[in-house]
Amino acid sequence: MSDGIDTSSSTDAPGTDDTPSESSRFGRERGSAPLAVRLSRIALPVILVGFIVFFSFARPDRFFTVDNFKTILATQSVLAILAIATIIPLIIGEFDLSVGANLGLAAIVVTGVASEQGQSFTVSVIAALGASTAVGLINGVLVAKVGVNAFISTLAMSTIIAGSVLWYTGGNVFYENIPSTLLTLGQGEIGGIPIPVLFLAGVSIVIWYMLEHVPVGRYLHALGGSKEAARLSGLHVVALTLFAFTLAGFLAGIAGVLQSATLGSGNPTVGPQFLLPAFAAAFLGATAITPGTYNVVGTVVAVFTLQTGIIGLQLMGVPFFVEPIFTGVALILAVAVTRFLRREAL
Amino acid sequence: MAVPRPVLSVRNLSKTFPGQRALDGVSLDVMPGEIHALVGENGSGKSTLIKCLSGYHEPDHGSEIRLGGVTLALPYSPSHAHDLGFAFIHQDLGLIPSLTVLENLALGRGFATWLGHRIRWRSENERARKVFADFGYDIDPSTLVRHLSTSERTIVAIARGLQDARETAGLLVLDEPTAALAETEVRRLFAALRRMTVRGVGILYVSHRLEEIFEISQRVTIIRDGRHVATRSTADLSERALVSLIVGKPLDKYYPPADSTAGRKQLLKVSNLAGRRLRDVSFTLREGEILGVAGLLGSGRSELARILFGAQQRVSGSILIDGQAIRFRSPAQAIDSGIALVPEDRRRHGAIPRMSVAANMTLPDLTEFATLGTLRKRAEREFAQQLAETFSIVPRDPGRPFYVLSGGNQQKAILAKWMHLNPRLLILDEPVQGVDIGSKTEIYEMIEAAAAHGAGVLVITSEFDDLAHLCDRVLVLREGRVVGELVGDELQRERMLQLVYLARKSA
Repeated sequence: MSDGIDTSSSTDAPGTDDTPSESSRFGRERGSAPLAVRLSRIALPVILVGFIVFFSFARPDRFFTVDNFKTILATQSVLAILAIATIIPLIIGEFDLSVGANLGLAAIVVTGVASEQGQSFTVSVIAALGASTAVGLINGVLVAKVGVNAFISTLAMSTIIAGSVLWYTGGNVFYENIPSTLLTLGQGEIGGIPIPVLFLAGVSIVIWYMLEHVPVGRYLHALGGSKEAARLSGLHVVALTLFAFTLAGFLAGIAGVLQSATLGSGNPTVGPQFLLPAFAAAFLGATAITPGTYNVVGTVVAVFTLQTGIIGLQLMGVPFFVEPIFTGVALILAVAVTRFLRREAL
Repeated sequence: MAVPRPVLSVRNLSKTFPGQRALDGVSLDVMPGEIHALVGENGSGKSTLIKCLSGYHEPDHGSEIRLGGVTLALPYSPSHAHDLGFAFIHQDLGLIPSLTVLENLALGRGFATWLGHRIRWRSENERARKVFADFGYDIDPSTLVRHLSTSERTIVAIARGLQDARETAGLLVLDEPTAALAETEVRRLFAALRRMTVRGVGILYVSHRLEEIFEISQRVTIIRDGRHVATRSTADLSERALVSLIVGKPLDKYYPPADSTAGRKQLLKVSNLAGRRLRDVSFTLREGEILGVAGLLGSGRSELARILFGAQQRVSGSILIDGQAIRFRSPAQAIDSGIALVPEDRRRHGAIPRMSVAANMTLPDLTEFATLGTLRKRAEREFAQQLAETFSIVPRDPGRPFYVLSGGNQQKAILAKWMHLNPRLLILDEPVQGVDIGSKTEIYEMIEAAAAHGAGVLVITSEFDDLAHLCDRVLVLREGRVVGELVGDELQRERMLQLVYLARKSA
């Protein structure tokens, strides 16, 4: 490309660029995989359990409580859904850097349409999801049809959205006339389970099923492997790229609606700060379950592993600035250890 | 003076496979010092005969094989065949490239003696050097085999095969020994073979190249449909007569006439096609026909393939399939119309390296394995397993990632991916590039099978010899233009080379 930046190869899942995993995604041989590789599959879930056990013993009074777990689950469901949104473009070998801003857009639209335009809950939600999905579609058109590098076009889209949100809100927070249904969505429970968690479960299952058991999931992975080979195999590369970005936009929309529901307001500064943690979870998740491949289960586990670690450390009295440091160190360690294990195994 | 006793005497050799008689009472003699050619079309029973001799197949009851006057007890094992005095040189020479010539020779003696006796390397070295010198080769036995030329390797394999043979009873079986050799290398090998025959070695020489047979052999045995057709002195035989014996009917022309598919329906008609490099390309292709495209890199040969497959757009011209004008906007449309392309760059365009062999093979028709949008993974796996067996892909487990396969097996997997769709038009761009000789033969057989089932086949390759053997007709492309169309007895490598290169000089 004339812009001289080619990020396509950098979207390869961690640890896969020159030492591909011994197991391909489909029809892998679990039993015969080297021990090191089998370990790396379950390392992340094991760490999650380890965190829970450790902090439960360290701070049984505050960590090992139903309320604490509920809080972790509820607050992180939004991030987990956004992380799932990021892996769809990642699987086809593209970045969508606008998902964070897109989440913010949905949060503002769902609250703004209700509070400023006085529309019903349903109309607000439809408007929010519609706006986010449209952004995703535009991203897809720019990448697949116009041929703009996804890294650049989605970065640009991100700042456009942020600017538009400020324009629409005038910098104000929407907190009046928020429909009660929306608040219930964010703060209610069904059978003791926070509603955002149920949303996360639903999104996870649907996307996991699509990626693992529906032809289109296979096609997306094929595209990530080699776009030209996929095209020469008869796949509709343009349509699949549009689909991936549109789906990412739609999922970011769901995350945005849930975010405003949990907050109970529409805040124009919310959104972009979700971007990096979402990507961190996606990369970290790709080191687990099916190493070398972005996957839903790994991503969700990664989100909760990071958050459990952070909350646990905070309860132990570690200062607030440890959180981002912890996330970064965990990401580097996980990817590095996976690479090391892989090299040992081969 | 006594009549010399044949080195090899085969009588009434038959081999029955379930449902098929591959060999039916074949007899032939190879005299000491004789080079005896064995010819026949693919599937005529040639390889079955050789595999019976090598002990790989067990001949039917009543068959008789005599070596040096001794009737062999049947069956014998392949490892025993060597002790009996046979030396088989297959296309895959079976040398270990990372070992020296001498080490390869030592391995050929079998492990028992190797362990039992200390090898006297120095005297062995001298002896080996002398053997090669006898064949007219100056090969240093301490060289690594991978540094040798192909004909030198062939000589090493022959020396290894013959090193323990009893002087008079040695029989050398050469299976397409020149398939991978350049012209000058063929000369050297022939000179060496002639020297061997002076020592009384008998040679059974299998080749498709008729001109070689006339050059090197004294007699030729033709087999067809598993039966012995004739054994003739090559001096009394014309090439035409030999071809008609092989094919089984008198010929008007030298090779299969261009109209062997004349009665068939026209499948493809390309008129005045132009692209980035292509200029004014016109040709037709019939069902069941194998059309070759000879051209150098940059001649527009790959562009032709890509335009036909919808992977690239043409600038002008028309393409008719079954008389219908078509313009594919994407490969997907071409695939729906029954066209398949095996692309030139196997690793980058032929498959998704990180996905499994199975996932690659089912990619074009994955929806066939889905019910209500859900993949039936077990059905897919079983189908892939079956394909892997049909197309003899190693390893057999199609769950392995594609990138772990060897070049030949990758290409067979790509062929399996397309051929299970039963394409009407099969386009292959350099299908045997970087492929081992065994897979190469298999790939050509698959191409022939596709044509036999009625597919029109377009083969693009720089292996002009292979084009001459494989194709009914060959187009020569140069600088984007068709500069020649070869049929019948013009289907020769020399002719293609001439057309591909010569006018460039005059230009």
